[in-house]
Amino acid sequence: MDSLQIGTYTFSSRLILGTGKFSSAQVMLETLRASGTKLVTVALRRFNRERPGDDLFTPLSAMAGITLMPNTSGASTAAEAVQAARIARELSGSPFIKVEIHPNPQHLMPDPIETYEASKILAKEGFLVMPYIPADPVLAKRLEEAGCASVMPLGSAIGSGQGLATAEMLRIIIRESNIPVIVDAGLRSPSEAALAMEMGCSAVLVNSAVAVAGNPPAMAEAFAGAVEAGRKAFRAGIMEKSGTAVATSPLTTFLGPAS
Amino acid sequence: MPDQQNMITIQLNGEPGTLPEGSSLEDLLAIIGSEGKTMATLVNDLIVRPENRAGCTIQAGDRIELLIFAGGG
Repeated sequence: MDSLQIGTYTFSSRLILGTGKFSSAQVMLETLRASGTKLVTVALRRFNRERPGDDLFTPLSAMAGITLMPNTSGASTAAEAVQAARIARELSGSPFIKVEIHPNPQHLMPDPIETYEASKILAKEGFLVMPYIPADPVLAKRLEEAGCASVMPLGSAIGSGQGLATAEMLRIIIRESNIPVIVDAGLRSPSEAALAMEMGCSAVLVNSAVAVAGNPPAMAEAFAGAVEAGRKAFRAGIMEKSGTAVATSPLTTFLGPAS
Repeated sequence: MPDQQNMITIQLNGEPGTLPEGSSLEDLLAIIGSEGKTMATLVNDLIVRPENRAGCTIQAGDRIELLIFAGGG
């Protein structure tokens, strides 16, 4: 598969994984290995000495070839997200930041205005800004102009497994974008990841679909295969749909009528 | 270790806590048993880098945040 380029970084995998909802850190690490992912998102949380196993920095740093993309989840304003991003960069040393601002826990929809404001500030500070956004082509273009490294529109609500409910808007965003478009959130099964890649997405970000699967490492492998297949199909050039049948075999008679 | 007699009250990750007067941020990390873990430290919303923790003396009423990377999507 051709590599994914974000800023000056190159990744051999187009599958980005989240690290939430896994039954244990061990299962999460096995899943990352099985997926072949090179870019992984993590959240900033308060240290709790009753739960020392929450700390993922040490085990993730020990994995070769993994780049961290901290996220700003928990922020409900641009100011909170900017502060979280600065703290995350101190901790990770990574320039990547997933700007994630969703003030309403009922639907977890990203706040486009706060996300735009935070992204603009962070891009100026030299971050590789990866904003999680509603599938809005105008917002995506504005974020590109503000210096974001990619845009990450949602397929459907976080953790909903409703797939590519925003497909038609995603097509417009992909067509108009000069930066990588990464579908983030809502994917339930590998076929949806393949479809997103066939549409021309540069990558997909998956968390719940893998983490809550019966066998997370096996599901991660399945997603990796689907992402690769979808990417290859996109590059190979997918045939146009036709409103009518178009014969694949000659329709001329070559056997005479039975006598 | 500073004199245990004189304690100050601080806010640690949003909860009230006490600390011997004169303690540094590095002392605090040792007291709560978190030394060796990779975490970000903030005092009154300002990031304090690891190399500056020993020289950062905690004052009464300081708001201290200790943050780690945890699972998230």
